[in-house]
Amino acid sequence: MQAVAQKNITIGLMGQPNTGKSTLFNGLTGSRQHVGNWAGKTVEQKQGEFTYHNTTYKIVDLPGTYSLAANSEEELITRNYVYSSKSDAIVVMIDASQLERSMYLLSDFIGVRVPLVVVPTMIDVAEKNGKKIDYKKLEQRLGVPVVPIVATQKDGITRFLSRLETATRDKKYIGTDFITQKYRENFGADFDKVITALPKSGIGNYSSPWIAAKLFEGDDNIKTLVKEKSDGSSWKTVESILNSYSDGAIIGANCKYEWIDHVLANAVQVPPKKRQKKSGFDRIAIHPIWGKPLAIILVLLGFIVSIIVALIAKVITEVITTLAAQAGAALLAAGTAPFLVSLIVEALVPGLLMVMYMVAFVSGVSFVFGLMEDVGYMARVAYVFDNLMSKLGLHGKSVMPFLMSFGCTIGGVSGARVIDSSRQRLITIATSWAVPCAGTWGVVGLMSSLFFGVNAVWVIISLFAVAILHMKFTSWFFERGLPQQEGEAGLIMELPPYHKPNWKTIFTYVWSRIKGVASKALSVIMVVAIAIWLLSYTSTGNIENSAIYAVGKFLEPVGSIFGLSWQLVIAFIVAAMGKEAALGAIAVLFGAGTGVSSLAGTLVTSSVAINQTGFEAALLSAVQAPQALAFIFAFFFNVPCMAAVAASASESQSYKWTLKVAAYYFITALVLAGVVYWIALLIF
Amino acid sequence: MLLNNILLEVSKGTIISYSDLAEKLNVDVGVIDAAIRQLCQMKYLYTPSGSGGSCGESCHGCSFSGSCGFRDKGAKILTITKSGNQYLKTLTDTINQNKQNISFNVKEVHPHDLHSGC
Repeated sequence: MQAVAQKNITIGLMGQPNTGKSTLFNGLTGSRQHVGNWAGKTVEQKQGEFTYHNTTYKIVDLPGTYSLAANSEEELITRNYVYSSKSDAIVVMIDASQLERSMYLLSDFIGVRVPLVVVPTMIDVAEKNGKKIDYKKLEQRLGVPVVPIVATQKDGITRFLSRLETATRDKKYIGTDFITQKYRENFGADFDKVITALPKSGIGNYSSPWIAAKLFEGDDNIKTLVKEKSDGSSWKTVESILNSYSDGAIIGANCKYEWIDHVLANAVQVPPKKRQKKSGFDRIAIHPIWGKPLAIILVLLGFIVSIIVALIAKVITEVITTLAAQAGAALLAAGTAPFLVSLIVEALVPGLLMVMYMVAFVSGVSFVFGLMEDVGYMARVAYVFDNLMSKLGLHGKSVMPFLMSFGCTIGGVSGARVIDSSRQRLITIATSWAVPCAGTWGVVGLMSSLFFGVNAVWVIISLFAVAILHMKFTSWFFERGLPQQEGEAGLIMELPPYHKPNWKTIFTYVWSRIKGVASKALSVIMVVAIAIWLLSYTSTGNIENSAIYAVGKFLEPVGSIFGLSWQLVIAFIVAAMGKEAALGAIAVLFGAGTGVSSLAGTLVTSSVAINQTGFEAALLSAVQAPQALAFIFAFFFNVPCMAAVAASASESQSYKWTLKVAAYYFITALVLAGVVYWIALLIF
Repeated sequence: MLLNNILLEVSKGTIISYSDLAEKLNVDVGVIDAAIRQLCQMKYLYTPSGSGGSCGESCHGCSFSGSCGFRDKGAKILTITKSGNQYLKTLTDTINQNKQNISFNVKEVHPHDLHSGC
């Protein structure tokens, strides 16, 4: 009897993690396997044997790797094995249910001169997902056997073994033409220059084009190998070419993705992508149509909730103001100097009360925003508004400070805290000052209806139109001045799940916000309140005896360029204290307001007694329509109030930057007033 | 060019989910994940340490550290590194150069050539 020739074949088994390598390995080798470690490594090595058609196959289970890039110990082991010519063929397992991703490992194999068998696994999962893969087409395009299997099923194994036997005999490699063409397109003539400088037959199992690609990708391992195996002048040539490529890795990787697209084109049919159905609240929260109105409603509701605390503070403020006024009267009766009483009652007390009101408001806003962030809703708001906000150069979350600013700019500024990027936060703060707060409408409403009647609606519309342009310009203006962060952060995310609020965390957050704001607010508000008091105090209550009157008259020639008389100039300056205070200040300036000895006293609106009829008559006789329009614009776009300034200083941690923003708003308000005034002169 | 397109999307600074990005670029979600890891490995993108699991530098100083809505599963904040920005600039310059070349070439065609009998 003739002895049957026994052959010994060595196979390397390769693939990304979780492609079923171990299942196939165990299925082939059964108990005939041996486990150890790779020489000098901590990585486990599994080897086994099986026999098929009188051939003994030794199979080495290589560590799971995503590529042959040698970025990890596992990848290095795999690469060295491939390089070392130890195997007669390599079996590369790819996950058919994630074909594009799996093929990247295969793309790294192009140009390696080891016969290959490609084994798509998880084909049942791919079919379940509706994927239809033309494996024959894949085989044609790859130029190597493609044997789809379900690793646990016997008939797949039998087909695999048959194709493996053929592959070790036929010795086919993956076709290199397409990807080499891509490398040439992207690296130009330099690619062929490097190939020419390399040993013609390559090094080990690596062909010259494969080595060249790795060199351009900056593979240090391959650089060392080439340096060892080449002569000095060839290496110098290669090195000088490579030195001009800092982005070779990404270019090379792009070429590989293009190769994957080319191989899979028309070979894979996937079912049309259905938008994943959202569950529960998210069905509305991130709905392309309903998500935005819902967010607006919830944020505005949140604003209402947040002012509950502020309203309580407001009531306390009114009580303390009344008590302070009574105490003031008592002090005057006891012979205390009037200026001292005025300082206490009209500057210090209102200033402190304003701080208290501000802190109360900030605590409400912080609580509402903190709750939204904690339960996970904030992410949804950012998600639905991101597209719109990005047109202003802002983050999706910026919509919340803006919405809050319609109520009070302090809320908007404090609310900017939720924006992670400091750069975006600052731009949002600067831009939110342009949003008209509730306090704006007292003066704007009065002046518009008084001077323009039914046409007041056109005044309001034009204010909003200009406000939108103002915000865009402001965003651009302040973005220029801010230092570039290492890169603009893009947020790629899966929306976090909703979860129950952590009350301890929320209240810790609120407390830290209160502490931060209170100290800044105290310093800014008190300084401004005292400064305005000093400038505007008169013992007679007649504003014409005050320093601010002198300032107003001095500035009147300049003010007139912008359409502002001395009263309107002073009102414009004082309105920066607080927009609610502006109405009382204007009444005092036009002689229709009594009860205070300084404009600082108008901070507390109830302290000014306004003669409404006299007030309107005084305005109509002293102010022309173009001047009124100019003042409306100047007032609308002015610094919101000193509490907002204080909040901004607290949020930005920079007095300097805050002053810059304040100066910007002051100047742009005047410029807009001037433009509107001169246009109005032509119309009226 | 997949990696270029991902960098361009991240550079827009917008919020986008993995699945939206995959749909936009017409690839599998798994490929997006793999590609982003690659870009991070190549140091074109930078993920602040721990984002998606705990808070890192991007949340530094935030009173919400450790407890915000981004703590579970999802949010990955990707920042383009200096190298990434330099690469993007090269890309943009090349695209603009190609556009100029195209318009230049159109102007180069002589009217006579359009009417030459063939």
